[in-house]
Amino acid sequence: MWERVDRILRQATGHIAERVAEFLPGVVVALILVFLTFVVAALARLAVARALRAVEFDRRAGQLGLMGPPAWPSSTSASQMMARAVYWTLLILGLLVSLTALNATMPSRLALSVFGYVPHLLAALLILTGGAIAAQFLARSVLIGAVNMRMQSARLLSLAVKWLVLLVTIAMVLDHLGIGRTILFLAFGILFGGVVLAAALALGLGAKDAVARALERQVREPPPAEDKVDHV
Amino acid sequence: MDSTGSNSSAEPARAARADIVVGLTSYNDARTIGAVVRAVEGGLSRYFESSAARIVLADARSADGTREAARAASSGALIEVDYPSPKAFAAVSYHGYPGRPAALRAILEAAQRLGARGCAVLDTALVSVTPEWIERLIGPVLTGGFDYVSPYFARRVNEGAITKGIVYPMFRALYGARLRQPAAAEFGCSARLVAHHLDQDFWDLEQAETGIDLWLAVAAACGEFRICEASLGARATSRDTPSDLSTTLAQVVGALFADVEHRVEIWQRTRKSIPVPVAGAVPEIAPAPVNVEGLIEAFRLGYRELRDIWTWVLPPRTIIELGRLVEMPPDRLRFDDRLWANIIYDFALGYSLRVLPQEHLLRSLTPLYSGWLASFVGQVDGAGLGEIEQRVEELCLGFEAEKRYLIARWRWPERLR
Amino acid sequence: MRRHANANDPLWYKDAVIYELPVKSFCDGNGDGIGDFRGLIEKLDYLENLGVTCLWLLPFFPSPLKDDGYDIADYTNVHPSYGTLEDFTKFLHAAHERGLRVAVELVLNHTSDQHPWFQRARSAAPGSPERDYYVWSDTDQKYKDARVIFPDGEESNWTWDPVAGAHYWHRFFHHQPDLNYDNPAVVREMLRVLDFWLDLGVDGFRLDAVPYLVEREGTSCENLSETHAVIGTIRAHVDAAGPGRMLLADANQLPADVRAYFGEGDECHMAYHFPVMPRMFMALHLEDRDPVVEVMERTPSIPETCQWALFLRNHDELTLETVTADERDYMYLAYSADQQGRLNAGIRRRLAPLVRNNRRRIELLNAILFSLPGTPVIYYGDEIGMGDNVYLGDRNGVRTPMHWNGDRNGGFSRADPPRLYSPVIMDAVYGYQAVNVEAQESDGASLLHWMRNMIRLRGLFRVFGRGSVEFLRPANRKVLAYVRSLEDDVVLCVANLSRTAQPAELDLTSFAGATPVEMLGYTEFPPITAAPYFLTLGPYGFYWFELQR
Repeated sequence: MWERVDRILRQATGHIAERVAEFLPGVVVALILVFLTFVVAALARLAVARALRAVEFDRRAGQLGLMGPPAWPSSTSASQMMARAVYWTLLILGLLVSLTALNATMPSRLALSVFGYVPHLLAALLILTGGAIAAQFLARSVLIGAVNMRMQSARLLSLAVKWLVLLVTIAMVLDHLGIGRTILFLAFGILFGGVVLAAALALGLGAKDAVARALERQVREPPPAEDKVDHV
Repeated sequence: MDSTGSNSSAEPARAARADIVVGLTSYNDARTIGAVVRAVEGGLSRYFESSAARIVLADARSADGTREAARAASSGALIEVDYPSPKAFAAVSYHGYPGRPAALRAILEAAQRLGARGCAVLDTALVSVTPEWIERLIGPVLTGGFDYVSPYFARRVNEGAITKGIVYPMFRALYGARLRQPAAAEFGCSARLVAHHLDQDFWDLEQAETGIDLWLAVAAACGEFRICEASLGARATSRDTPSDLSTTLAQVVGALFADVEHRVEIWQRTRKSIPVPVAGAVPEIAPAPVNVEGLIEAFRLGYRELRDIWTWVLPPRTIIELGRLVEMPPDRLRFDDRLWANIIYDFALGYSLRVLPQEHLLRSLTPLYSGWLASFVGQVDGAGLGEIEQRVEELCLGFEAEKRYLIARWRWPERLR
Repeated sequence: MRRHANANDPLWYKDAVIYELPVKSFCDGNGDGIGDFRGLIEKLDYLENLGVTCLWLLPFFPSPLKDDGYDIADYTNVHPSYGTLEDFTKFLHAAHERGLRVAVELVLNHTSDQHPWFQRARSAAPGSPERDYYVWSDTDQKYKDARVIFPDGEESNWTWDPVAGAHYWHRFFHHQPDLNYDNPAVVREMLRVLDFWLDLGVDGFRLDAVPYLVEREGTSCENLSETHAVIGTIRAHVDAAGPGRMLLADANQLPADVRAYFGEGDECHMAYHFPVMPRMFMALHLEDRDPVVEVMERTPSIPETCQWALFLRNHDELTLETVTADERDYMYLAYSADQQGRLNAGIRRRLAPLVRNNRRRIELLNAILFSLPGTPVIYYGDEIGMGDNVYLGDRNGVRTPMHWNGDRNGGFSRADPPRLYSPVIMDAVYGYQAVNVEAQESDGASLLHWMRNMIRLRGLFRVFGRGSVEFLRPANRKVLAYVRSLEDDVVLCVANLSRTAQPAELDLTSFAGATPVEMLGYTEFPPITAAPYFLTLGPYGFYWFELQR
């Protein structure tokens, strides 16, 4: 009986030892990965912060997009925020990778799906902010430009541009997130087409006179005296 | 900037000295440059026969044989200078001429190197240059003890409207010198002023591309220099310039505002403007008709669509007055001089506070300018030069009276939104 | 587009507005709870925007930090908590790029007892050159006439060193042995230190505790002619390094004694005007102009190239050493009824708490500071009306972290709050949630905007930095009025020191015909005639008039 007990014990310990031996390298690898993750993430944050500071990102962002630094919603500067986002993304990804190294099925599947999704999420966020800023800026540029070109439907045009940019942005965002792809294509097509049509109609109707005048001007020779104003 | 000194035609002339240097800036002017060179040489030999003179040509890499045409027309006093080409992405300037700051700098450096006592600069696209111009631009420097000679062109109501309505009144109110065309491309200056100009730190700035002429005039007005004007008759040019009004306005006014921001210590302390003597008689000009309908339409459209943007820089009182103007029938639309001055001053302050991207701010001024121009034209329609000058004088007095408004707001700025 | 008007003016310090800041307290760039040069670089835009033209950094050198860095263990390096020498040069470059000049501390009088020179000296044989770097004595009875400067901390100026077997001399704390300036080697060492920072590009030096360099028996050991000789040597050395470098003497003495530190324009360029500071507070509390007028009129004239440095508050206590005993008692009663706020011979509070957070009083004091003859020095945080914490020991209550925004630690640092070198101010009135830069930036009527506008305005008129002063004597003593003039520029400053509206009749006959233009709003007042000029001032109101002819 002792023999048997002994054998079973040996078997058991052998089994455990085997399991541990099987498991241990994974742990070591995971630990190394965690460590590396921290290092890489910190380095990346530093690099991003440095790079953004070097190009005076905050000042430029303030001038370009929003109405100067005070309008930035958070108290942390734009570049700090970017650096932080990079840091945390890398960190989370790194941790997930190290979980996979443990070879546990559950987390690894989770890891893989999250792993696949996170970049999309981040990209989507980035696109959204960029799109919103661009829409605002472009809308105003178009408005001013159109008014200066004496187009009666300047506001409509600027609104159309704004919504066009926003729509494209939203479509890109949803596409990145993989939400309702097919319906999205359809809806986007309809909306986009609608907007363009509406804009075209509005422009056509609103700018009818302007267009007529412009054409007239082209035909009529010589141009009216007003056009001969030398401003400088 | 040694690289600017290389010259191709007359290497020995480098060591020579000259009392007078006439600088020519050219860009694809093969058709006109010959006449300009001949007029300049004619003027030099007629009025300054005893002085050693050189013509310095700074050509912006013309592709149509401008240099050859100049050489052909010249009787030998021509020196060509090269200068670094402008950055590729530089905006096309309202004067339609790339790399103007570098060209002017090369000319002034050449004048300094040659030891010139007087230097004049002309653009070779001009078709109205006469030999008298040389005398008018350089004579006051050599014989009258003046340092800076600014041209005074006889301009009709439809010419130089931005200068008449914004640049001249504001320049005069701020810097105290009554220079009617401070942003002109032609000028004469003394050796002392050449040195002062070369000493300025704005040559390499991005905005110099469009603002250099104005900035040089400001530098002269702000220093201890004797200034006069030279009546040159009409200014006619053959060069096609980009005609988009809002771009031109943004470039010219932007250059003015940018400089205002950097000379606060000077203009805040300058009081009263001083008349500038004019050399030569001012000719009479024929009235020119201007169609104001389009201008008024632009103004109304602007009011309707850009009012929201204007509220970033203009106080409510101004917006309401503009609203009243919009309602006026076209023949009774009249911008009050003080209202116009306040608008320009508010835009200058908004530019310096960066309440909006500066390009947006400047371009949104266009409809207001159109409205003002319609009002101005309505008041001087069919008038001669004297009447126009009188009207501009009144406008300037408005700008001078409202200067205290600008100073007060500048010293104690409160954002409107 | 950056252009700086007086970039090459060797007398730049006459038109300067100096901003005093401890690197430790300004901004933490690496999240360790202690401010550093990286953080400071991030905030340079803020300082440029504020309009100040010169930064004076409190000591940032390696030190055991027993006296907030004034006990230096290595003169030519940066304390590791604040960064590296490379960080400093980066900072210096970034500051110069923005047209900001930088002045650093040069602590001449003493070193830390941890400094290698002292460690070397205490173990060296008596009489050896190493030993001779410091002042040693076998008895503690020498130089008996020298007072003890920190009576709350030290009993004697001598401390026994068991390693050396002798007493060493120290005017301040016992861990700060005084250097021996009778030893030419010490002077040479200090010149080497000076060269080190000059070569890096530093624009100025504040010479700390400058009256105490040399000791002589039978004297108070302050302001001795031998001390002046040492300063003369330093000045000659600085001048030889090129123009545009400034020396600022820290001599907490009466103006007549401080005058000597300017020499004939051959010692220090600048010196603090200590006595005027408490008297500004006193005049405000008494609602009487006399304390200020009296001290300004007793101030001796100084050489053409020299300048007084004026301040309301600094990193030390509001020192009352230069006022009479009665005045000191008055100040204690008026501004620090509780014992807690007192330290040595002074009051350890910031500007805002001193005047009970009354915005009008803060503005009035600053307006006087900006318009009296001299260069104003602003203490960090006072531009937003920061508070203090009297329950922190020594002078640490006025050295708390800067408030940048309403986030954790006031935006000063990302570290855990307990890791901070000092707690931030958190009370309901002065706490960082209420008083911070971000909040005041977005409020156009805030103290920060007011300060910025005033600094800009002052910068337009060189008369403030360089002009002469003449006090007027209106019958109403609650009104302080003086005329500053420089060539054709004449500026009239009138201030109401009282909490109620006051009339003033000014005798301006010598300016008859001129028109006063109020400078803040550019408003013309009625022209001056031969008759007395009548003005009404609101509570704590002040006017700056440009007299235009």
